[in-house]
Amino acid sequence: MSSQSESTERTNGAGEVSAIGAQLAGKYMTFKLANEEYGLEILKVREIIGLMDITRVPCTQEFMSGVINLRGKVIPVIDLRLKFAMERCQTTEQTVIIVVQYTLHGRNMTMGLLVDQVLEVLSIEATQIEPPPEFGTSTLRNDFILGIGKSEKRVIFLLDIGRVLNADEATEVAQAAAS
Amino acid sequence: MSWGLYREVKNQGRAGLSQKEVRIVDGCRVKLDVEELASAIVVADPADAESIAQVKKLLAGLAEDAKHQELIEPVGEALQDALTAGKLLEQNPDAKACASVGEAVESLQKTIVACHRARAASCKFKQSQLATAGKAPAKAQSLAAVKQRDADTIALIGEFLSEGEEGLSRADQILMTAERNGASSDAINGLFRVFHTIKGVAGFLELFDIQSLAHTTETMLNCCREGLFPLSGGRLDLVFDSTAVMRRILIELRVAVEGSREFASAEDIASLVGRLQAAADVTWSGAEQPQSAKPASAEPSPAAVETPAPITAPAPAVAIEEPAAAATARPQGNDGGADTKIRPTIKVDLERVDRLVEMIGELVVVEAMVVGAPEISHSGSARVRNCLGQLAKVTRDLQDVGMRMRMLPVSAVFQKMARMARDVGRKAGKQVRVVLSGETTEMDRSMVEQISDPLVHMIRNSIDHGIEGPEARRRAGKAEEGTVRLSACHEGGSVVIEIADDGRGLNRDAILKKAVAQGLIDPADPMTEDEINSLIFAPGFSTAEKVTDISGRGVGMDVVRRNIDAMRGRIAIKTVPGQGTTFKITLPLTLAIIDGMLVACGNERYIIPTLSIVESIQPEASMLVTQGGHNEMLNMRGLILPLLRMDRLLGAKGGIQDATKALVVIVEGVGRRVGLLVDEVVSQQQVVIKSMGEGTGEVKFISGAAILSDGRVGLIVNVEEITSLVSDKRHRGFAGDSASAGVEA
Repeated sequence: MSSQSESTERTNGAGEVSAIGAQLAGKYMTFKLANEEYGLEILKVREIIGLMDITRVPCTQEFMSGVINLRGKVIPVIDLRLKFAMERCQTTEQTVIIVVQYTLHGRNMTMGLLVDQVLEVLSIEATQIEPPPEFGTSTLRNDFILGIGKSEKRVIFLLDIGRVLNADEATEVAQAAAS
Repeated sequence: MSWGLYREVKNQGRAGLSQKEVRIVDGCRVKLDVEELASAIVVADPADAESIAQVKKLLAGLAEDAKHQELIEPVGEALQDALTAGKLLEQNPDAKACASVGEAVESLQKTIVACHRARAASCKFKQSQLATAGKAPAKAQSLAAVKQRDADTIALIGEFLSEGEEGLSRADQILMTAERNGASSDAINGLFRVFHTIKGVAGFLELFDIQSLAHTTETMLNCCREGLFPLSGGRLDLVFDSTAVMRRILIELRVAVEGSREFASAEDIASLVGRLQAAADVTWSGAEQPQSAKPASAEPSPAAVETPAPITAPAPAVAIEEPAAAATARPQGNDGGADTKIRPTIKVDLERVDRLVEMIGELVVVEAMVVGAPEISHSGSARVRNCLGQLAKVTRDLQDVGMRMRMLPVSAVFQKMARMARDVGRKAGKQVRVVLSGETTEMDRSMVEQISDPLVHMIRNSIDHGIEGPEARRRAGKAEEGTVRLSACHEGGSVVIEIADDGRGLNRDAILKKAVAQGLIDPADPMTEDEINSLIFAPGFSTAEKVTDISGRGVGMDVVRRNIDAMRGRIAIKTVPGQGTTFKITLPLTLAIIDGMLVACGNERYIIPTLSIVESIQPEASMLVTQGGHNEMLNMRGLILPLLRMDRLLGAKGGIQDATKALVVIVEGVGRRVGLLVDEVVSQQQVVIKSMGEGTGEVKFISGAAILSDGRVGLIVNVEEITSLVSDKRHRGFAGDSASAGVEA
């Protein structure tokens, strides 16, 4: 994605469509983390389930909340707040787990994302999407942000779920555990 | 990768995959050798004399091939280059020479591939060439027809493959009975039907190679049927070869179809067809076809053994010695009725079965949740309680049925073993009789597949090392014919498979001598019989003086133990010198379920596999020992065990800190014992093992997950990993010393 964003021309006016916008336009499931809004490509969202008992898995990184029983299947759950280095917060009635499913390097991945609140399914037009800003040598990596959607006055970060926790990191989880 | 292991992999791989590409160009034998040489070069190390010797040997073989075969010019030239490079290597085996041989071989490979392409493009399929067969080099041409396959054809081919494989196993079974008891007309008819069906379908699918082979076999069988000559001796062998070759073609076809590649036929069909045709003549004596002329490739390959059995409900298996065996050969198709013993079965997509079993598992969990819900369990209504009782019973029955659906009888694997034993026995020049029993014993489908490999190795070993030659057996006062018994039965909650031979037994002294020579043991160590016997499982261990192509590289038994470990099974050896050796493999009924002890640890719960638990006790203060104030040990009846606190190990919060109020579960793994401090043992239950889900990776100390009765996920503790902690250097301070102290005490 990063190469595409580099070659992308910024939108100059309201009418112009950036290449990344054309590519990313579509329906997104939006959710909240603290007061930030994020969007997930709707096709990758399998379901939304209420908070349930999460079994902690020992010797894993902090953002790894643990595993849950999704109708007989064991799937890992990631606390997105911790993953994005945000503050941990008390769970509320609106805290939910978004179950996403995607393919990474030919493997079918199913995992839960712990988020503060699910908002809506939003259609984002190509003209409303901008490439992610470059932070230069900023400390936080943001390669899992595909683009930024604008809807009215809201700003929505469009997530590349395959990169939020990629295979390397999954291995990293294991290695961190092993060290 | 060790050389021995490499060979093993290579052999298996060759039997399965690489062959299909091999026999395409004229001088296909050369190509086969070149491939082997190329692989040998890759692993060759100038410092390793064995690998260099291997390369030399292959080069010599190649030179020999070149003499006997007419090669297309460019191939011949490239081959000469490779041989020249090989000579340099012989004079001066260093890395540079290795590299130059490697280059030459690579260019030789490329030339062969290029020639093959050119030829494939120009060739047209001519069926007549196959029918006349014999010596004509009409190899590559056939089956261009398969090239354009639509979905329907592929489905048909798939069906044909599984039917054909079934038919061939049946044919093998009949053949072996016939070989022992003489061929009855029933047996010949059974064989005839198998080949006839294959011929029909193959013709329809335009698989002319298979059709022609089936046809000629059938023609010969027909003559037997008409009583022109008996089906025995050389003719029987020909039918054996025919099934073996056909099975291999089917495998190649499967690979070709799955990879949507063109299906190239094997070149040795022609000669086999020729021999079969000759054998259909009354005057044929079988003399012109000596044993040694049998194509080596006719040996059933290990890959053949592994072709997945179609999932069907078990049909009653036939004991191999039963003379009536042939009668059970099922007529193909729907004409039915000839045999009432075979229960009707349907073929179901495996995925559906798995899904069903999975859903049953979910149902069981939900049922437990409903029954356990306080609103319901506190309801005083007798009617509700009754209904819940019914529900519990039905779900349990359903779970049982679901489990059974995945079970297959071991008969398919056993019969393949019997066939393999026959071939291996012949190769080794020994007379071997295989007696099968308990083939109807059922095991989880995946285990039936997994057990095949270890059995292959063990039977090979039994025949090659265990059973003596006819001469030696006569001198020992035994029947000339050796016996290998393969049996299976249920014993408690596990499956027991036994392989017993009546050979010479393990040579205790030879094993000890070899083990000392290899540095595996210290000669001063006193060893029990069991310990000595289990030395044969050590990797690279072999007492064979010479390596044959059957066994002797010391890889087999290592593979056996690893596969059996992977299935969470045990293997025991019993041997009586001069009377034989028995291997007893004990396996769990299924891989999917384990008996577990649910333990509480702070506010978390974990499952410890019951198999690894030795005992659990509530320690008294006098039993607790520390060193340096923190390395804890448990003094149990004079045995000092390292004590690990599970809550600290796994980072759980709220665990009981006062050990005398907690419980110590003593677990054993990799031969070490460790005390695990937990809060309490909650319950014992059977759990269905689940993977932790993609993205979780491997987790330290945890081997898997399971759904507990309340619907939560419980994690299964990896006992092996925990016990191996005590041998880690950083833990040596307390564990290493105390462990040895424990042994002495």
